[in-house]
Amino acid sequence: MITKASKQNAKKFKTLWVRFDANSSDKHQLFFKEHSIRNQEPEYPKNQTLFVLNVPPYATIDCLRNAFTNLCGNVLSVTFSNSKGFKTAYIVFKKESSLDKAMELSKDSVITLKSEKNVCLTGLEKWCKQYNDTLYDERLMKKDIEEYIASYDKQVQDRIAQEKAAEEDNDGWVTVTGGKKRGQFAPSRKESTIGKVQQKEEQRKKKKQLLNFYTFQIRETKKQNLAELRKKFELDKKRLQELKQKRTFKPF
Amino acid sequence: MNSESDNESTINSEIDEENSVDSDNADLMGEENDDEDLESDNADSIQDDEEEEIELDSQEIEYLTENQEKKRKKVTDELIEIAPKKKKKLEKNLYKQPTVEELSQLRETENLFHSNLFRLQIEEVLNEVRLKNKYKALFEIWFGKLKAAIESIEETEEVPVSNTSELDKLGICIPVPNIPKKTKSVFKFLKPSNISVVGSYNSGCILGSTVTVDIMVEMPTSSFRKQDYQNYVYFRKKATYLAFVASNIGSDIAETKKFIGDNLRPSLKLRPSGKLNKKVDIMIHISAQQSSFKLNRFLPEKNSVRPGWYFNNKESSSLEDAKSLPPTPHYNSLVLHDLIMLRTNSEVAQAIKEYPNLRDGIILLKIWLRQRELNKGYDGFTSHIITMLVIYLLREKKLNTFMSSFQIIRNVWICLAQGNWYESGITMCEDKNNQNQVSHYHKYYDCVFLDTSGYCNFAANLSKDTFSWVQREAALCLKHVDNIHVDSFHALFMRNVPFHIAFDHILCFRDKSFLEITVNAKSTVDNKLNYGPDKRTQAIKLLFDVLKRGLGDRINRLCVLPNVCKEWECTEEVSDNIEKLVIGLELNPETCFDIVDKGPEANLPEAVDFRNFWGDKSELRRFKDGAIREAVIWSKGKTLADKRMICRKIIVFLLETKFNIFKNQYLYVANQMEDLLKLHKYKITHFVYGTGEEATLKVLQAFNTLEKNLMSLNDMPLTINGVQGSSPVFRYAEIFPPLATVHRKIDGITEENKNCLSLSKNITKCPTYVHALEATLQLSTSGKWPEELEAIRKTKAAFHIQIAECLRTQHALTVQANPSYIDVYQNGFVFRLRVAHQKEIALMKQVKEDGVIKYRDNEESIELENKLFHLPKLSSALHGLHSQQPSFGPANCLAKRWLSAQLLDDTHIPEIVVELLMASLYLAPEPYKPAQTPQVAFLRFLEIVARAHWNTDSVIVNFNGEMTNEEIAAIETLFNTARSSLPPLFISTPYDQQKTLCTRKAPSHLVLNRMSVFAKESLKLFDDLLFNNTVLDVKPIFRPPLLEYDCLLHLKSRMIPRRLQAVDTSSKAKIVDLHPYKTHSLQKIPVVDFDPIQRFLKDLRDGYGDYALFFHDTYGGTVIGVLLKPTVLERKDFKVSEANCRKLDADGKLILNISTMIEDFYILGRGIIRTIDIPNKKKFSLTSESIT
Repeated sequence: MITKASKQNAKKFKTLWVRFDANSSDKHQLFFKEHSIRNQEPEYPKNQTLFVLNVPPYATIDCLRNAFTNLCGNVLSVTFSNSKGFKTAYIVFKKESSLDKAMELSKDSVITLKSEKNVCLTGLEKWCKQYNDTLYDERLMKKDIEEYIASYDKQVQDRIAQEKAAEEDNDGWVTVTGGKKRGQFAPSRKESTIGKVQQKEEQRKKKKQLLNFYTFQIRETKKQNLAELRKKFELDKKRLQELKQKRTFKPF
Repeated sequence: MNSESDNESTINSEIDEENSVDSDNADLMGEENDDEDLESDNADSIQDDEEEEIELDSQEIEYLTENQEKKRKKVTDELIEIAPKKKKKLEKNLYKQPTVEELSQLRETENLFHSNLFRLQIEEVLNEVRLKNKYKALFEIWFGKLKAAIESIEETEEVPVSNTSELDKLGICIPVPNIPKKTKSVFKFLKPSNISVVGSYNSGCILGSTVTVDIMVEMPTSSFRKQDYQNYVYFRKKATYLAFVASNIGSDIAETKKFIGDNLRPSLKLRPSGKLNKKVDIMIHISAQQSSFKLNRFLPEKNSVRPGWYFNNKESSSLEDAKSLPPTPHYNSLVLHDLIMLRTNSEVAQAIKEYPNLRDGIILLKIWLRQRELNKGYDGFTSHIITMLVIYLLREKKLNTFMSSFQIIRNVWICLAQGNWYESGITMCEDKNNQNQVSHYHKYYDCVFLDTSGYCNFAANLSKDTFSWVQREAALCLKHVDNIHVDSFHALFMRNVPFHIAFDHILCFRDKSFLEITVNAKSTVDNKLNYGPDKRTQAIKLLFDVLKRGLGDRINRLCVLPNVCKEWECTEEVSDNIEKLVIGLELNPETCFDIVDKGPEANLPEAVDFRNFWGDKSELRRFKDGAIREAVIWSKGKTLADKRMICRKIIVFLLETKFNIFKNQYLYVANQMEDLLKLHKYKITHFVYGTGEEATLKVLQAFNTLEKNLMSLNDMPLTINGVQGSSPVFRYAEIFPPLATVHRKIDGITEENKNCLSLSKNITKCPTYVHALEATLQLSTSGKWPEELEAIRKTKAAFHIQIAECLRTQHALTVQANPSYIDVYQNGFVFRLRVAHQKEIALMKQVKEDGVIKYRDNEESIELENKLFHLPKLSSALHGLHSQQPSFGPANCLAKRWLSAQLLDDTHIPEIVVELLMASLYLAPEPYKPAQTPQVAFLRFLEIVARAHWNTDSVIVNFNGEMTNEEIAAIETLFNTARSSLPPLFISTPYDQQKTLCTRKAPSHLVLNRMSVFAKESLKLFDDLLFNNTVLDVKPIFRPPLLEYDCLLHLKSRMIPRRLQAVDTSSKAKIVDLHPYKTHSLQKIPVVDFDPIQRFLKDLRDGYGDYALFFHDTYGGTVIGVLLKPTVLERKDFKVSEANCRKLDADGKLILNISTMIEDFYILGRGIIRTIDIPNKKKFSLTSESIT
């Protein structure tokens, strides 16, 4: 039953070969189909988006865009859904007709990632470029940071202003609340703070309780004690079993 | 993507449903099982009842022991029944009414044993070494046959002892030592006065798997004349008697018969025929009836070998006078031993037989000795001695029969550790005068332990050194067993403690001829007479006298590995040669690295003595305290590697000058592996590299300067409070630490930028590798940090820029800032600084659930926390450990070098994990002492890696004992209860007790298994090298097997920046001459941390890590091994999640696109791959067939 389903599934996907450059002898097989789901996302519009599986790791967005532009027509955007390894891509065409074209591609057609127009850096060149890219110009960096911080500060200020504005209601009344414990100064609802409060409560309860007072309590503790011992014994036995499996107890 | 695969998910859910149905079924089955269990449990309880009845019936003491036996068995029996039961059951079991028996057992464990687990393990081991009753019965039958065979030997006529030609018809070569033959005595075979089983079998302390049973055949008194004790006549008669016995044992009784021991004390070793064959070895000892000679003839001061006879010189024989004769204590003890054999044996059997606990204790002690190779041969601490010791302690009331086996062992250890047999010996004789006898014996023997008769010294062959070795082991084990939190059992009884791993330096003589020459020339007449043909003991005495004096307090102990008994065919002759001699040195960490041996002041009379001993080496020197002394200088002391070898230098010198034994005649095992840590292909002026410690020191000095510079920065909004290093070099663990040198622009490879060098286009050769030395900065606290992650990061970047500018203006350093780090060029090293801020990690962890803020670790946060906070802490702790144990750093380097050489790099097992494992070996070295040499530490590392006990034991690295007992207990419970959810390797440190941050991602089970396999192989290889070759070439241990890889990517050597650090470099490669660093204002930061191979590996692992594993030696490896995961070759049904790197075959199934994948490797590694090699084409052709 499962195989049947998978076959159907496989049929939905069309295939296409992809190679690195004209010299490559072996090719990867791309699986693709029209992107259609119930809840359509706005960034991947219906009838324009191609869903592609098995995109090789060295393929870049530009490579794919160029390749598909050549084959089917203008491409609006290419998005990869994962950053590592083999990628899954969403290719959005400008026109719906391009998608139809893509769906009619024969399964023997081949796309080439690297050509004269298309730069696809791999190997040593790529790493040299990567390295040189890490050498930042400090002035540019500084400028960038300053801009960001300025916008961030403004955001923060806006937020505070907004909060203040909200406090004043339509008639110009301000609700005055009991100082300290609320707003900015109140402890935030963190797991750790909640835990602390609960612990305190428990301790308080414990203090109130009488221990070893009634006979049943004493009996209970004795029972508990024995159970504890047995539990430990069981655990040790379990461990011994493991040890036994791992190494036989032959000393020599 | 989720929503895309709608169909997929429905199918999946269907599958899930099916699965759940299956599991339901399984549950049902389980329940059925439960029912069965219940029934069986009922049966159990019935049994229990029955046994209780028995207990009630058997109030009499006689049955008590038997009952005990039953009880002891029960613990393990139950184990098998209870183990598979379900949890529910367990809970019910927990609260059931306890039986008396159970209660008492639980209490007993608490009081008498270390822990439950310890007790259970003891029982397991004892079961393993026990001989089954079935074999015992078989043996009794066999023994009857043997007895009959020996008793049926016919008595003979008298034959002169010296002329054995008439006995040639026996077809046995009589094992006689090489001594003068002249004697008047005659031999006549008489029926033995007694044949009985003696020793361990008789007392029930046998030790499997192959049990050795000792059988004594006693020569009757009438076979000896009065003078037969003299001049080896006794030994000749004994040997001839043995030959008679040997010749009369047919193949129906014994499959093989061999002599064992040496010519002086031969025994007959039989392998019985029939079913006993593999289980039992028989040793036949010949002894003499006690009444044969008077025991007081063999007091140590008496002479039994006449020098005139022995040295064959007539003049002295006439002058012989009973009083001036030299004593022969060694000879005497040999005869005495035989005379009292029967008597001792009956005493032992009496004392032990009834008490199973005593027996168990003795068996365990024997295991303990055997694991330490102590009970071998005649000069070891034999099983006989330990048995007698237990009986002695029993008589002294230090042990009693109610003690558990564990308590017995512990008390024996205490007595051994505190006892002092070489100064105040012990005696079993109840006569009060015997204490004087003991002090008398001390004049003649190293150690004294007298028997009940007060004549025989059990420890006659035991040297002081061997005894002190036993003491050391006992003290160590005592300390270990008293630590309640460790499961010490394994280290105490289950692990073999090889001699060459237990001692720091090993001296190994294989070629024995020159030792014999030495003995003949140097040994004193008295010793020659006393030891006679036993040249080994004489050689040891000679060597030890000189070596001990020469080494002084540099060593704690000098020990000899007891010799294994020789075995030879009955028809062959055996030489009296000294067998292999292995000596171990235990260094004294405080003094062993001293470069000067200070002698006495020049004007004292001892100075002459000193000068005579050292000869030309001794010089007059004036010391800082003003004294003028004789002194010997051993080294310039420039490198630690050199200092570690001082003991070797001393020994080489002494052996050469005192004994004419030269370097090539023996093997000195100490630093062979350190060769791997040396830089053979680099040279730097005015600097000796050694094994890298000095280079590390330079880095640390530069780092200290940088720290001062950073702390003194003026123009900072927040001051820098702390600088902590996190690279391995900061803990002495960098295999090849960076060297300060000048980096210039090279045309075609690098270009100059503002602050630093960058790479040119189309480089043809990789620039030299420069380490980025990572360190973190702690800023003073401030409330003004922003609340958002991105903003914090930007602020950090701003700090980086600010620090860079300050360093430039204030200290004129070359600095380059980057959003995530600052590179500083200080004293020729590049330090990579990062600002650490706790809030960043908190924000990364933050998760909001139902309006509550929670903190949950995720991969990214762990990585950052590790890098910025965890690693610096560990680094300083490990650095501290190195300052306590100077061999720690290089030991780490060796371990990492080895792992890397086996193509396991940092991604398979992170460096810090290796270092923590090594640290655990130093902090809890049991069963050893902390190693003083890197090589030994490395071998121990291999041992624990080979053992691979990670699944059952947690690794607790308790730096400075910071973790409390409660904390350790908490970790243990966590480990025991939640093992499956923890990573394969669990390491706990004081800074990260339960999270095991650094082993989360790696190593995997697969890597741990691989390591274990490699380690086993390497240890085997090392043992082979040690025992077969005189020259120890350790490089094979560091050469990886390449055959098993599916695909090999060969790299261009020009693109490997660290190619000269490889294990094997070609002899043609030029030595690189480095210029020492000098400050220069226009200096640029060199290209840092650029290793194309590492980047290639990262690309490969990112892209193809799901299908294959990649292996490479970081330090100059020219090959990357690719191993396909076995599951990826399967054909799979089409699924969105399985489509990657696969293609459809004719049936519409997915198969791995291998050929394209390999071409992809080539594409990814453009510019650095030389060729790709597929050694095992079959695997690939098979799959490619299915493609077409």
